[in-house]
Amino acid sequence: MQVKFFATYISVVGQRVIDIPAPSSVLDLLTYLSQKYPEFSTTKKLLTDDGLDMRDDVICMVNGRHIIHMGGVNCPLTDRDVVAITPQMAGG
Amino acid sequence: MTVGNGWTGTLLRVNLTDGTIIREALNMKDANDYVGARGLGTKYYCNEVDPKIDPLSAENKLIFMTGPCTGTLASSAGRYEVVSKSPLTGAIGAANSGGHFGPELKYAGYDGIIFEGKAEKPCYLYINDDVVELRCAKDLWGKNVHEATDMLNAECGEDFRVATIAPSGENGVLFAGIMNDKNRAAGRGGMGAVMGSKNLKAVVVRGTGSVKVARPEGFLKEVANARKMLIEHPVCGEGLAAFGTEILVNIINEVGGLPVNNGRDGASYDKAYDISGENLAEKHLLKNQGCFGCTIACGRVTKVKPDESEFYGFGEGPEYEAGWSFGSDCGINDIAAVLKANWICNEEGMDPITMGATIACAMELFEMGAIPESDIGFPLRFGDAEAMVKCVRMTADAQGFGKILGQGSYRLADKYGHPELSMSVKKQEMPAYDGRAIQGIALEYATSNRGGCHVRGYMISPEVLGLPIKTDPLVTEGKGALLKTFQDLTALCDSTGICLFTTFALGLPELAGQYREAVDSDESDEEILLKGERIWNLEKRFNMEAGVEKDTLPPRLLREELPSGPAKGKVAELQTMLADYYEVRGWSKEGEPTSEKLKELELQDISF
Repeated sequence: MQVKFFATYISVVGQRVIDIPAPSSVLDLLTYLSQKYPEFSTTKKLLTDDGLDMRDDVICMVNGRHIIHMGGVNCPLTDRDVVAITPQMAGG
Repeated sequence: MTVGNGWTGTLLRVNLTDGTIIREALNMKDANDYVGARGLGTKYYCNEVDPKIDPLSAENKLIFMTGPCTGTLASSAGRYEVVSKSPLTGAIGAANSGGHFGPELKYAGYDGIIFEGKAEKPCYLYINDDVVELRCAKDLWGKNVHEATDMLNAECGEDFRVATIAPSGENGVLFAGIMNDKNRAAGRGGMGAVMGSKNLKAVVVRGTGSVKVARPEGFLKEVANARKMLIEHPVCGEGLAAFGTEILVNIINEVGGLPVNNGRDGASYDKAYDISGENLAEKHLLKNQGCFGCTIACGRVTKVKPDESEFYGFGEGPEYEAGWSFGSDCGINDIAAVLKANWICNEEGMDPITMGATIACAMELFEMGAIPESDIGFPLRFGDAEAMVKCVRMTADAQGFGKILGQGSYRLADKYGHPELSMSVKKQEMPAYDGRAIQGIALEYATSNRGGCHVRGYMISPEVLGLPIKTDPLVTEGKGALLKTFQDLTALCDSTGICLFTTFALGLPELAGQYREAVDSDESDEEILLKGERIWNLEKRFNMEAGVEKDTLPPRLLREELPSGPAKGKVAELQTMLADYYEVRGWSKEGEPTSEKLKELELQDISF
């Protein structure tokens, strides 16, 4: 499964894209990333303090669809999916 | 509302035909009812100008107007508005700009300037506190924005603020803007062409006064709260400063909403990273830059070295919109070329959205054989960065095919028999989001009072970014009500003199709170928001009287299904959303404000 990172998350991971075996859900993916990359559990947290949901200031999309429209963090993942994770952003 | 409550109380009325300059009292009732800047400027304009006027005639007027918060300590309150009838669209044209010009005008003692008539010879308006005079601009005519600004600063003083046009405005490029502080733009709709038609090259201003607010203690409390929210917000406090608005490229592409090749080839671009804010920050960003009193500082100062690209140079920008218009919309992933095209637009005072989208339209027309190469002088295919930059230069210089490009994509496509290939609404080009992938922005494009525009109701916030709530961009339900709120709130924000970008972090309570304390108002948040709705309906009434076409979209968005991406197979479902929108607005099924709605907004006595 491909996971893309945008904005300040690129420097956290050290690369724009990683390939990993698909965890069973978005929650599992975010938990994995929070454990592997310390900043994702300290200064740039992905998960809420109870570890059960994604923070409001994080955007996560699966195949271009925000997870809020796909069952939230319980959205299942497969190896064919492309996930994009970014801090909240705006422009115009 | 009284003078001193965010206002100087004085307007300048400059008749360019006879050279008279009159100071007149600001209409305080209108200032109360229409807030300031965009709203108040539009009210003055509607009071004084026939909607059917030729925008480039001497009888047209051009209004610079600040808001009651402009130049105060309010959050990011450096904005002013330029209002006139747009020569590009024939609709009301209101263009908002930041920098330092607006505050300086108020410090000189003036809330706004109304220009009338046409000067016999090129001139500029000099304002140094109480000294206001028209001066000869013979030596400035023909100079670009940066050259003219440097010359005026040398002549008048380095501490003067300059708003000027380039030869694009002098030559009637229909999307020429007015540039202040060199790189800040009242950019869309051709306000620079109106200025040029009056032989008015520039306005320079120096002010040593101040702006007083009504309730300083309460005002500072509101400001402190707003600034804290801005600084602590992930977008306004970190993201925009680090990456600028170009940060949007990747995420908009991810949802399949980044138009490619004039929208012909959908809205998923496989080279999006190359033109993204992340790549820009890594390779070409020197520093970020803020406007007056801004905690966000989203501006980009950028450079390409001679050994990096043939498109080397130095300047400001691009914003996301220009990154798209000169990038994926032209099939170009060379960020140096995008930067070069954007820098030229800044120096030459042209709207990069319309410029890039017009070139993209020309590329499609050329590739399908509708424009012969002999008309252009060279092949103009998608992906040709050198040809794209050459087109921008030719437009600025009014050379050859550039004269046609300077009329915008609608007139270009119409000339070559395919008006349907102009990606415009009411003859103004749509910005960098595909309305097939993001339904809410399609409705905004169709209903925007100044033609194709994203910043009249920025539906990308809820549809993609989750600000302040997350909506589904692929569904139509509820978009009418949401858009109405965004449009009314934006009209209010633009009219206060506060930057629209603050609304990523702030809501109506914080915006209304600062306004209330500045002007001494006891109105509720809802009563203040109603002023935004009043402004929107006034603009709509002007457009109806001007004969502006009905709300619709280019056929491509209505009929051609997106070929790939998350929104594959989608078109813009406009009719469903329009019916909902008109009902929520209290308008007729034909999209016109009803007499009941006009009465509710105290617009029933407005006559044109």
